[in-house]
Amino acid sequence: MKIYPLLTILFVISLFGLLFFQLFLNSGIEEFDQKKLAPFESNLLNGDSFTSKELKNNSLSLLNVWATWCVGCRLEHSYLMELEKKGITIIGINYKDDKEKAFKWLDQFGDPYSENLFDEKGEVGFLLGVSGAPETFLIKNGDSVVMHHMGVLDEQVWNNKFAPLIDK
Amino acid sequence: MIPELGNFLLIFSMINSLLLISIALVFPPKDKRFFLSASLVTFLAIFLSFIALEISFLTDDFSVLYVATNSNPNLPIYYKFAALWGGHEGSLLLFLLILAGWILVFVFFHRDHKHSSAFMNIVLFALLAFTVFLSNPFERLLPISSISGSDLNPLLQDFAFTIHPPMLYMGYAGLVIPFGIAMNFLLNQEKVKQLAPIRSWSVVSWSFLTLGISLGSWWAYYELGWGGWWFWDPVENSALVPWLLCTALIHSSIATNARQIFINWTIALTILSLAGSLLGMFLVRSGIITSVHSFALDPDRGIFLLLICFVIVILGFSLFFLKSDSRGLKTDMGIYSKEFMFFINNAFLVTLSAIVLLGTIYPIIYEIFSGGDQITVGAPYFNMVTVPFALILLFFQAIGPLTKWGGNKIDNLNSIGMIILSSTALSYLVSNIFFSFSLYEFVGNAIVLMLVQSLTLLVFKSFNSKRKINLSMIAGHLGLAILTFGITISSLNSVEKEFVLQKNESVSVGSSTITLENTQIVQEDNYYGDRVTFSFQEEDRVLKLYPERRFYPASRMETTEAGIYPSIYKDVYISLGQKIGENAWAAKVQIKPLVRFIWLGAIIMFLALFVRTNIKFK
Amino acid sequence: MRTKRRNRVIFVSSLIASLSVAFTFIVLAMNENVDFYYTPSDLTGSKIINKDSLRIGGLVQEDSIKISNNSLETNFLVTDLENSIEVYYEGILPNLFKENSGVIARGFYDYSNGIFYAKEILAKHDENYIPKEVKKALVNDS
Repeated sequence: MKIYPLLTILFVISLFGLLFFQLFLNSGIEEFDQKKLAPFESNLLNGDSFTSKELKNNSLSLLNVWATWCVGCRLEHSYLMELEKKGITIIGINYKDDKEKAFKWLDQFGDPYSENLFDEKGEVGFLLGVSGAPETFLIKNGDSVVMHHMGVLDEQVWNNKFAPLIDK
Repeated sequence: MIPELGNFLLIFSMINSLLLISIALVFPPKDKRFFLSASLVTFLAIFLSFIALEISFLTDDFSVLYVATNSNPNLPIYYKFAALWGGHEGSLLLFLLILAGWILVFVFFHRDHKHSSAFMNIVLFALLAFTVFLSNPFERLLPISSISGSDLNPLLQDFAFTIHPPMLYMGYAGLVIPFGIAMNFLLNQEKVKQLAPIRSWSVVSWSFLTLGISLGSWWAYYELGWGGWWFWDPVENSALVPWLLCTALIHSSIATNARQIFINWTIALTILSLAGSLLGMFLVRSGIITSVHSFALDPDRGIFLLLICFVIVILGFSLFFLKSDSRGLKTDMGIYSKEFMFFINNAFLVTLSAIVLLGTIYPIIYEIFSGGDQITVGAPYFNMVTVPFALILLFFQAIGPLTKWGGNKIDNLNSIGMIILSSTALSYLVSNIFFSFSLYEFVGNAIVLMLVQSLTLLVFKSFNSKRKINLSMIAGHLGLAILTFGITISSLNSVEKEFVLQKNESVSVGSSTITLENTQIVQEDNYYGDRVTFSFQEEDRVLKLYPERRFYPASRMETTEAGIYPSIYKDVYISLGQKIGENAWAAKVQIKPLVRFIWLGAIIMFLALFVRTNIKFK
Repeated sequence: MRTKRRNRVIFVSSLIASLSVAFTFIVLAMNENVDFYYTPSDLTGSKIINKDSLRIGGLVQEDSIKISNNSLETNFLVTDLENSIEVYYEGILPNLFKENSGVIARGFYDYSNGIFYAKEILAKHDENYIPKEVKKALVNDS
């Protein structure tokens, strides 16, 4: 009769082991773990062009995906303004949006972005693996993604998820 | 201030629940009122915390992150109220409230149980800790900014969808109670009588699961615009698995109560069905599978949820293997006995749930072993594998109630023979006359007829012999028969056609004609879109249908509103496809006979909860 | 005692028999109804993929949707931003189907003319949701 406990435990452990394993695989994708940044080119809101090579000018920069139709972006905007005051470079990616509305938004609420990509069709977002807005990437040395956060970026998220990576 | 109070109360209830567990296991109190008062305090704390979050919703307090992302000042007051459980954190709070409520009710009625409530509180505590530390709905948005809030997904702004989660959670949470009873039984080596409440509680849980699942299916039918009522979607499956296991548990515990058999099996099933319900919760909330219903979440939370599930299963099975003895491991039942019928019932139900679970997590397994290849398991797999099993199970469902405990010859041989003969003959006629004959049609109808006849016979016999009759069982079985009838007829006899129509053009579908009469633009407060008027002419009856395509600017969502003409005999269902030209549309019409029987059957099954009488087989 | 043992033998053997029947049945059904997932680059690559039913995912390429004006036929290109594939579909399109949006098509690929014949089109609201398969393909590429 000793075989049943053994079989049951074996079954439970293998089932849960598989699920855990898959979760760890998934979390690797969410956080990229020093993934190389996919190279991209795009126009800026002001009409100039921008390539991802220009990110190399900063040892540390944030890519922030935003849009005027996105409520979460409105939520995190005031915190982005604060981060900008602290001297952090934030590159905006205006995602699937309207140019006029975007300019109005920046006039009204302030502009924390040093550059602002105009990703009208979501191509840059697609390359980066963006699934919605807001999303924020932390880029080191202009070519590696050390953090990909989906959702609102506020003080708490910054202190828990971003700040530890910056101090390293 | 109120959100902080809510958060405090949640933490308080967590500590309280932990205290109850440790006191119950370390210094079991003599005074049985201890558990009652402790459970009452936990419940009240969670209830007030729920009210606190409700207040934040109703007063549009957008400084709370969860409120800001799930509500909007323009939402009607009812949807503001229901928006609380529209997202992950809030729905978890609702689940906790229901679980604490069930525990309180249990403790009130069963004060003689030493440790049952302690084991239930282990589950409650784990989920409370998960809520407080990893999914806190009271989290403030920092720094506080004034904004107008987000919007509830328009697909979810719907009455059925707002009551679907609470009903489902009543069922899920209810499965914690049998688990607690079984664990207490093992720990204290109680008499078998102590397991008796499992039966009533599994019926409670089962009824609410039935209602919750069927509400979800009804919602999918009229809201998603595709005319299907079951998609074998991972989220649907993760509710179906606990439902199947819970059905098995009801039957197994009936056998345990009546004959003191299947004791270990009943205990194992309480662990399995709780595991099924927690695993379902994990699948929906971890983002490991994607689906319309699932909440997107980061994997850290998923790991914690999976850990909770793992610990509870391991705890359950360790206690099971350490403490259970072979009482009730009697296999000397005759093939013609009621015992054997219950065995068949359980074997099939557990197999079915394993099949559904396997199909649901197979893509995950495959991805790991193939090194990242992606696959999906289609609905045909589920239909192909589950339908034959279900049909055999239903066949035994018709015979089972006519057998006797400990019987060693075929009782009621004549009646069973008559039922089988008359049903097959009648089904053969019905299938030929009213429908185009096919094997599934014939078998499906025959089984439905058998079920109805066998139930009628039972009722008739009990009238004659003045024996007590178990109305709950009659309602449950009859509901399933009606549901099976609805599924058989509607899925085998539906007519559907896709077409393109210009204005004033017609197309014929079967014996009826569909005409595109008019197209117009609709503009409402929160959406705009196209509405197309179709007329559906059948003999001399003309119906009008108004399918729409809507766009909700606030959340940038497009939805399809099907035009449905409902009736008990058949539904006419038109959904719009692509706009082809100025006044031309692609559309799909479906004529679904008896599709309403599916939900009618489910409602009757739910009513099984309210028509309980004492079971007396003798 | 004897009937007890006989019953147990019947019991166990019927259990084993039904389990093995169920198992073969499940494996057969599984093999027939599993769809593999590929990207347009996988299909245009050198490796020939011979499957009756498969799924491809990507974005609907801009300006590529051709809707027939009197039938349900639609042609469009699905791209993963490196390669694209022409998809032919006859039927109702889901309401979220549009240019630059994520899409999954189920059907088979005809190597002779390079057209993917879709039996089913799934489109999802990509602001909040990109099909996991599509996302994963992109992450692996980058």
